Amino acid sequence: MTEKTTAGLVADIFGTMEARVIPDGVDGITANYGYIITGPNGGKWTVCVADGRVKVMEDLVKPDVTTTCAEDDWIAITLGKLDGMTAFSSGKLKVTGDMGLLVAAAGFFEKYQPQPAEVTVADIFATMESRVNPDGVKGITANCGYRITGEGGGEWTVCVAYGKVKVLEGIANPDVTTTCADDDWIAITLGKLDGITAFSSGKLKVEGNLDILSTAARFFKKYCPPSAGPEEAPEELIALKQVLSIPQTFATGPVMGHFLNALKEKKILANQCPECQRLQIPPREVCAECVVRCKEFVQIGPEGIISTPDVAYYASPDPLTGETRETPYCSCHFLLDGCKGHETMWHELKASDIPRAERGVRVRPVWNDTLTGSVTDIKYFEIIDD
Amino acid sequence: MKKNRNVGVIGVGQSVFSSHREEVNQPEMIHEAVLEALDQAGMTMDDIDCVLHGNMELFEMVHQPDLWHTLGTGAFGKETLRVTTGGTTGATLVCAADALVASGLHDVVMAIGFEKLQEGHTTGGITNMADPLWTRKLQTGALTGMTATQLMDEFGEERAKRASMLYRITMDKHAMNNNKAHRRLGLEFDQAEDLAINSPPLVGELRMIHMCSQSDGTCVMIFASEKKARQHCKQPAWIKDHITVHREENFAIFGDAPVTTTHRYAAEKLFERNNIMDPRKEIDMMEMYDPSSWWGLDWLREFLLLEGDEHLEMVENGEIALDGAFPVNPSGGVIASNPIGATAMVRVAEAAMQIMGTAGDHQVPKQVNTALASGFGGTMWTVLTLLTRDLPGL
Repeated sequence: MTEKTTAGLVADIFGTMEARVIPDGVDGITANYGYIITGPNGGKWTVCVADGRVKVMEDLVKPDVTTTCAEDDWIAITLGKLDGMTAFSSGKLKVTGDMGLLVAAAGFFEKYQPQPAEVTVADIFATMESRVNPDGVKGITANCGYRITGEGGGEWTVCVAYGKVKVLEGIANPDVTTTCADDDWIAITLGKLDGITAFSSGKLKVEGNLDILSTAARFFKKYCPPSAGPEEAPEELIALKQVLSIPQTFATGPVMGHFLNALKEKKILANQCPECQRLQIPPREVCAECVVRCKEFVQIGPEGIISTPDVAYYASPDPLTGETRETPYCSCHFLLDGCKGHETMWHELKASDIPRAERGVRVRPVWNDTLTGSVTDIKYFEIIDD
Repeated sequence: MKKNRNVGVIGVGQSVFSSHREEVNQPEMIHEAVLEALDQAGMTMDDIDCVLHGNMELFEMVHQPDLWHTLGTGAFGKETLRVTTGGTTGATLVCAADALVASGLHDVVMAIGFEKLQEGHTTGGITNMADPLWTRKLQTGALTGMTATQLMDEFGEERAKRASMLYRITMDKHAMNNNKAHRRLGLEFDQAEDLAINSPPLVGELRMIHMCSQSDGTCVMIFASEKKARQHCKQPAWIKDHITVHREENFAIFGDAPVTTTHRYAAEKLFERNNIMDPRKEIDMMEMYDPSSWWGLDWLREFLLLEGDEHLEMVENGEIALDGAFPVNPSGGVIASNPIGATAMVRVAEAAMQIMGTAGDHQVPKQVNTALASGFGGTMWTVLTLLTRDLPGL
């Protein structure tokens, strides 16, 4: 890749975004994505997504999320040479604002293809000898002449004999001669224009033995433009997508059933080990420490204190429903009145109380309107204001 | 532990660990590690009597994966056994292989732990496997910031955060020497402050940089009776002992009273019955199942029976580094690579490699005579494995 194209690459990545939009990818998304690309060829851009369309603007315009990254890293990420998550984890790529928006952004655009360096007719002929397909030229003896017209054109003869190929400048004793404009010849070579179509439409003219030309398509391996690097054979890999949805029903048994039934009356129960006296919440048939049956229930709480709060800023989507919980939410261990040590109950703290979530703060349960005998009978615990 | 006969690890194979192995299917990915282990043991499938297979089925949602994988495991016509105990699967596979060989039932056993997390939904899988009667609705997958909260309460926010990042960066430096590792970020110690503030928070003070990866990968180990081991391997890693400890199906460890963790309980029992009085001196290195750099830091204290802030000092003084007094996770650990069904086995395999001297670029400089490996899963399952360079007495 030339110096010139590298310099313009970052601008070209943003400049081609509008043309690379994947409609399904941006569907239903309204957000401004800011980008600060640092380095001599960097700059600031905003990718505005709304109503299934994308508009790319220079500079930062009311971004909802802003990504900062060095130009080389940004090019590497765009070309798939650097994994975005790795760059993010290692601090090469920094994000401020609503990070959740970036997850969707991976599906916005078709893959970026850097502009190849200019392909010349001369290069196509110059590389033919190195691209010979041995099976394709086997048993063939022929001279194929080419008259390529236009500024970048010229005349060449491809001589095939004894399984070898020699390319000469000029037309020398051709068995068949092809005449074609330079642009069309490049397009045919790159696979952008079908040879038969060009022949049918008169873009490509042939004099002499047509049969030889029909075998010529197999003479050479695919031409690779100078900038593209070696062409990799595509592997036949397919990803099969499947979504599972599994309705389940669990039996509670009498011990857990007793505990869950009490919730319907807004009572929280624990069962007590007859040996070590510890309480289990929720109850368990057998004390895990003493391995004896626990038949005695005691009522605890319903008020208590925060023991260990855990504020989740990242929620993984539920694979069965596809839904993601709102964040932040606070998963919390509470020490209800009548309990001590590790006799905590695990539930949630009201989201608006998160800023005040500290150990020892007093809480009470907030019950749901409909009580069904399940963990959701308690909406959450909330902090008691004095 | 009373054993009928000694068991040695004579071959280890690992696939490359990565977040994306879409270029191979499950049996093909397993086959990579099977070939490497056989090659190292100087064996062919004809020498293998029994093949053990393990992963967490709910991650890929494939039943009978052992049957599909026969194409890659080579288990056709062999005795087989399937083990799936969650996060500890790999370590439990080692226990099972040890028992099968020690008992005399088989002379040579190949154990395979694998996971292809890209093909499922890890956090969703974990959440949907939790106890359905109470905690499933409350679970946050495998993520929790409670240990971070407790460490900051105990040692102050600044010191705890710094030690956790030092642990994290040390692990990354180790992973940089392990060409099988998944995440090799190239972190430097001067990034500690920046990452501790700017890495996105997941739960509480557990940030993305602290947490382990989700990886695809396979680990394979070959276990042999003393006689077979000596025939095939100059320096086997001998299985001295192992112990499994677990608690209730719900977490009951987050109250305000000190609790004996399953890690400490397991270590106390294991050291007691092997006459280990000072684990930091008598054990040469450890491969720990460290799901995050908060847990790694905290659990150091539990496994090595440390008191006060000794575990923080070990990290701060660089003792856990590859060339330190007590190297921890020369492989980069779980934070670097986490193909769950293989993860706990990789701990034992890496500890064995340190004894066998086959760890390559991440071989610790000193001779490893005794190594410890830990497995972890669920609501505090612990499996500890003790390996030695010298043949254990029976």
